[in-house]
Amino acid sequence: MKNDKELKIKELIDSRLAALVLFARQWRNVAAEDIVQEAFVKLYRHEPWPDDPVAWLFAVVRNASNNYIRSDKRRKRHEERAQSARPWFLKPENDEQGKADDLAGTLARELELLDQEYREIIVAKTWGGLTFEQIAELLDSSRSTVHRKYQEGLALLQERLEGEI
Amino acid sequence: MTRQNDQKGPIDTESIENLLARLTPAPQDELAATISTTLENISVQTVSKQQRQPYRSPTPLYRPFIAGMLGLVVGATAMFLLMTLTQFPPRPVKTEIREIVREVVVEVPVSVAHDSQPDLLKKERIVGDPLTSETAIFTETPSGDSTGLLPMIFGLKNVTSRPPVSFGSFDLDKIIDEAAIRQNSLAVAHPRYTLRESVPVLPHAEYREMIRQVLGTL
Repeated sequence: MKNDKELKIKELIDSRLAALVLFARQWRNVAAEDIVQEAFVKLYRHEPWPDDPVAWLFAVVRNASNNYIRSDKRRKRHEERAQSARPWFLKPENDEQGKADDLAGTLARELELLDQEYREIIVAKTWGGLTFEQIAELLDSSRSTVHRKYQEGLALLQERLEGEI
Repeated sequence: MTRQNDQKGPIDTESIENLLARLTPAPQDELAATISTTLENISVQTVSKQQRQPYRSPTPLYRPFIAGMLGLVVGATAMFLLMTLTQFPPRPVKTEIREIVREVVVEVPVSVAHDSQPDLLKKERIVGDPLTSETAIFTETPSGDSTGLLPMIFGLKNVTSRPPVSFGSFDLDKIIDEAAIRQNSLAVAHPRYTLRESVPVLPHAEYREMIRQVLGTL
């Protein structure tokens, strides 16, 4: 990679790739990696360079995931391969008390079970690093709605985590 | 969210956020390498495309010829129009005031004995011209037979309906009389003949008066 655009894409791969794959997996999508790769290829070919490439990538991944999951055949294939889905997160490290491992692991599982309308906002905010404004634009919604759903999602996770303890 | 913040439980939403932040998405080193390789391949393909001289097909010889011919045609047309408009200015429109000929038609359904089609409806038309005060009478039939009753009465045969034959100034009263007589006699002779409403079978005097009223508008 030589030119300015390629350097920018390299930075985006280093900083956002894992979050984008995680975001694509919100659709229980077995082709998450393919979709993210295609998004980067689109970004490379996109002229002019988008004003907000991070939000642009998340939007492309979201649209592609929605289109992919609409196909019945692909959905069936997804169901067949759902058992072999890769883990979303690395195994969390233990703190001094050795409790964080259990809690974070439980939280990761609960996050996977959370409704998508909450989960995609939490993923985009927490790991994608998007602001509420960017997420609102991504979801074609308002900032206040996105913020409210984010808080509701956290509250649901809190309730479920307390139920597990 | 007030509810969660007010709770004294072991976990609040802030803790949830902290716990979420502790989760690290699964690394995608392999995918990163794949994407980098893909983009590099695209870059190489793009560069090689740019370096390659694009193929340009030679301009066919007939194209300039066609263009020249079109130019000649357009130029000749323009010259012709220019000369025509300058040498032959448009003529002034001739104003012709024409009096609309009022045509009063008296339809007389008749049939003549010698006619090969006794049921054929004929139509006697009496046409008046207010400018010349001339009156023409002719007969129309659907088959184009123009031998009229009234012209026959006056010894005129083979009268064609187009153009109308003008009788000039003549005794209109006599014509009307003859038409009315003929009409009544035909009605008697051919009782199954359906006469038109506009010309009912009337006594001689009434029929004559009716035609007079019509012709009085001339």
